[in-house]
This record gives sequence, C-alpha cells and structure tokens, in this order.
Amino acid sequence: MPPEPDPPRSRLTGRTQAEEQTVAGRAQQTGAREFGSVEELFRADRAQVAPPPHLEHRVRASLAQEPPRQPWWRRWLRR
Amino acid sequence: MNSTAATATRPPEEAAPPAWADAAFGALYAAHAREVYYLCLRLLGDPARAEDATHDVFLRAWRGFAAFRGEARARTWLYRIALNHCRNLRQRWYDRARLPHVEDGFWTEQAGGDSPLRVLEIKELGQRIQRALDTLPAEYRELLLLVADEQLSYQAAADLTDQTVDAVRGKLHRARRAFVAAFAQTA
Repeated sequence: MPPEPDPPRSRLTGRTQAEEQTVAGRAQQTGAREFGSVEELFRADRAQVAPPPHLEHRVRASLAQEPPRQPWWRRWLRR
Repeated sequence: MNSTAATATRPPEEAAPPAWADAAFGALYAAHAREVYYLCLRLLGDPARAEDATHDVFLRAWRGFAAFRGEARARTWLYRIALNHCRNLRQRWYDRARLPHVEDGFWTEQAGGDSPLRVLEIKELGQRIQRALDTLPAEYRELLLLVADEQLSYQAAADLTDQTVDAVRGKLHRARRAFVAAFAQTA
C-alpha cells in the first residue's frame, strides 16, 4: 500500500491545516495574538496608544499665548 | 494697562485669531493628534518627550496654518513637521547614545518556529515594538511607521522622506525583514 501523501501546507505559513488549528488553539488559550504583517502590528499598537488627555489643553494654552498674527499687507509694508 | 484696553486699541486684524481658524485648528487637532503622537512616541521612544514633541508640532502647525492651503493633505503636512522636529531632537540628544548601525545581512538570520509577529500579551506589544525599532536605522523606523498609517500612500511616504516610490518599496522590504528579526529577538 503506497504511503499517504503529505497534507497540503499553507502557502503563507508553511503549516498544515492541523498545525494551523493547533497554533490557533494555543494562541486562544494563552490570549496570544498573531499578526499577518508588520503594518498590522503597528496599527494594533497605535490603537492602544492615545495622547495624554491634558495635551490638548496644553496646546490650546500655548496657542493663546502666541503673538497675534499681522495681516499680510502690514508685513508687506514693513519690508 | 489692562488687557481689555490693549485689545481695544489694537486693530481688529491683530486681535485674537478668528473663530473659524480656532475651530478649524481644533478639528485638525482632533483628527490627527493620535497619529502624530504615535509617530513621535515611536520615533523618540519616550512618552514625556513624545508629548512635548506633539505639543511643538501643533504649535508650529498653528504658526503655518494661515499659509496652509491644503495642497498637501493635512496628515502629510503634520507628519512632515513631526518628522523634521523628531529628527532634530534625536540628533541633539538620542543618536549620541544609539547602538551602532548593523549591516543588513545581520537581519537575514531569523529564528524558525512560530510566527515572529506573535505576541503573548497585547499589553507587551508597545514595549517590544519600541525595543525592536530602537535597533533599526532611523530611515527604516520612519518608513515603517509612515506606511503603517492607512491614510498615507507610498507616494506620500516617498515625498516625506525625499526619495522615489521605488526606493521606498525596496527599503521597506529590507526594513520589514529587519524589524521582524529584531522583534523576534525581543520575545
């Protein structure tokens, strides 16, 4: 009797379907997460990073202290 | 002299910025602050410095806001300010202590086994990304962070880093491999 052919492997990961299920199951048990690309990894990271809430207030306070902008004709006359 | 009197004697054009500018700038901040802060955070590697840098970026943006005509998209415009500011900051204090540049060949040796982009805890993600990014050349760091933004095209990334789209593609390929190898080593 000829030996059974190897099960097809994923072109992306090189794993068989059974191996994929094992990895996914292990990941689910441990709360692990697998990312398909570097960009996806960065996006997940960015989603959990927010600027500090007081930053907007800080920016607005700084803007309020900025010297008033002169109209273009006044800047032009001073040349 | 009190401030009311000072405002009263000042021509109207020199008074506080018009309400439309204030509102438009508020909308600009709301739409882009998260991405600008994230870019600064991962380029500088420190939350306090990223906060200062984001503050400075929006202050500079405000100063140029009247001249901003929208030829460039707002995100690209803000990223350009942020990149230049972070590059200056890094040149000043961070690059002195940085690891020496590693040849590209170093990164081609990768460990097999599980996916190198697998993380056990999502909360550890930021620390691992930062550690991996810190080992990469500055150009790779910038390109990876720029193209991770869905709103930014390769063309925009090329414009922001002063190179052609083809050059960006080639460097991104190497940058991704370098990052994956560095990230695997942070596990």
